[in-house]
Amino acid sequence: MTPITNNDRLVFEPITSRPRVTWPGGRTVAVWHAPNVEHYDFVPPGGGSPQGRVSSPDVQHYMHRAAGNRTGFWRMLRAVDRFEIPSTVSLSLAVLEEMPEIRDAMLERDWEVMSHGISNLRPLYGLSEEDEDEFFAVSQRLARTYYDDRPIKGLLGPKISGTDNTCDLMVEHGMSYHADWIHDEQPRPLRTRSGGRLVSMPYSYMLNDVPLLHAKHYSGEYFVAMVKAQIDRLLTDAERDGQARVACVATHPFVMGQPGMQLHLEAVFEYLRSDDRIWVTRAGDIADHYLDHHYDTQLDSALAWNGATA
Amino acid sequence: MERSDRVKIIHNPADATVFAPDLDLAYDGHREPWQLPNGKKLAVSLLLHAPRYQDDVPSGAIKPLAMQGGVGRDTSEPRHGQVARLSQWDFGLTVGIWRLLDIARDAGMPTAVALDAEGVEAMPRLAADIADRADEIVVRGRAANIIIGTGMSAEEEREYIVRARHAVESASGRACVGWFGPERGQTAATPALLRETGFRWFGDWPVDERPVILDGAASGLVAVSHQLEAEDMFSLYTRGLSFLEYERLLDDTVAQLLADAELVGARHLGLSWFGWVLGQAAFAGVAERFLRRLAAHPDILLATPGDIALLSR
Repeated sequence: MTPITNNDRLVFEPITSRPRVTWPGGRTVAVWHAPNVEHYDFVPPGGGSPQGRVSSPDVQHYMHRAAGNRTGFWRMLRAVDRFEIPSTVSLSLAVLEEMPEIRDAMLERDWEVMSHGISNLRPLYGLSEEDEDEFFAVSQRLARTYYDDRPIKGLLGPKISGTDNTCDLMVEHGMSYHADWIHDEQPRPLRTRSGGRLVSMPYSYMLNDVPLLHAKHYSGEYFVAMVKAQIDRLLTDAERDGQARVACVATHPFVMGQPGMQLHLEAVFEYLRSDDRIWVTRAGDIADHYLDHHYDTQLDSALAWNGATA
Repeated sequence: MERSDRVKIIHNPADATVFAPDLDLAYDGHREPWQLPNGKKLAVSLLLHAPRYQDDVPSGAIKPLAMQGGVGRDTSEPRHGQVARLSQWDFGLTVGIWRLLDIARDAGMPTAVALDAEGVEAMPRLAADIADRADEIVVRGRAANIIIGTGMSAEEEREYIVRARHAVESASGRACVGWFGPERGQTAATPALLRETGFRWFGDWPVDERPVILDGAASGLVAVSHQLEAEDMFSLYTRGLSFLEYERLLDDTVAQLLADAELVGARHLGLSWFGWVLGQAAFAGVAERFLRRLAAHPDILLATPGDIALLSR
């Protein structure tokens, strides 16, 4: 069977003509906090250098990220607890098996586990369908074994990677949302070969500490300004057109967990708790609500917009 | 002594093309000042880009060597299987372009929207819906990442241009006389081919602060400049300005152009904005505030790029 191309995964309809999406309780902007809790192999498979800086092991790279898990994660937790922020951890699943302290802290807080691969130096690029199928089977086994028997609903590909089969295999392993797609402010249907239901979940490389602070060198203050500008606009537009929307605040313990960033993280959380129109929730809850209440009408509308039928 | 009469000291290498074909060498203070109707000092036009990014590019097609968008600051082509750039550019079509069209309408700013062949062929209604709201439709080649470039024969390039124009005109139902190539990709022959195939203006060259009528093989074609620094993708991504800095840059640019108009004649500022960039919720406020300030200024003429081309005569 010819794979569905990445362009054709997208079920297009402009936001202007879609049936309205709404969130529970009349809230208009759903915000999910996605801490990326990652593990990086000391020497990755194949021995490659993680950043092309020095040959592997790159201890600066490894230790910087390990410090995020040893200290930054726990500092961020204090802010999460203070503002009672539900979180969807984008997790290197090795953490479930190898770092029980972190795993248990997340489970105690009812965080949702979203797969971010096994290790963030093991991308999915080039995997055979058989090997990728095994990857998803292992991922669900890890969650069932170590995380209160809770299956994984979502994926953000490790190193934002995938294959032509990723979406299809996800639904075959019971998953319902894929966060690699950033093409919308609402979840959107993604085509799969089986017709199984899969939606995109708006992740962000804009409200994201790694691209913003680590790669592009903006300040913590600017991170806060971006969050406020983004969500303020979404609130305004949702009131204008009645379309509820989604924003994601993506963090990493090795960036936002740094001591100098804590006040900015707290400023973000304080802002999220300052407006009752914001539904601070988990990605899986957004996906479930969309699938239960909006998926079918959105898909039918898009097919009609494109002159096709279901 | 005239420039052409001098004995040249520099002997240019035979394989160098020293100057762009068809572009005169003209300088502020040494040419007739440009004038706008009703004594306006500055004309501002707005071109909104609504391109489609192709994850799979056909073999033989020319791709950009670097592009903005996707994860982090990497501008090389993503590995197959990473959909960040594809989906970020697609955001411009699902949400961003509509947000910018609303903002422009509310500010009273006329709009031109640039569409490409792959986008309108995959989603014919996209062109029709945009044509309902835009004052001008502009042809933007085949796709965001299928560009014109060296290596194409003149016949291949002509076919690329004609096919794109036909696709956009058919889907939008509008006659198109303006061109903006994806990634501003051109060969030395492009302006002449645009002229030959019926275009009146093109926007790729950030070459001046007033429209420029070309000479030579492209005689009569108008270069309507879209200054690089005023472009959202260049300032916010390539340069990495914050949105606060970008807004200040736009305001400072307008203030200086208004002041310069007193000295060197009327100015034109061509805004080139992308649905996937300034149409993002975090950035849209810049567009909203800036366009409102423009619309309230008595010395500024708001026009489409096609209008600017007509005003060049």
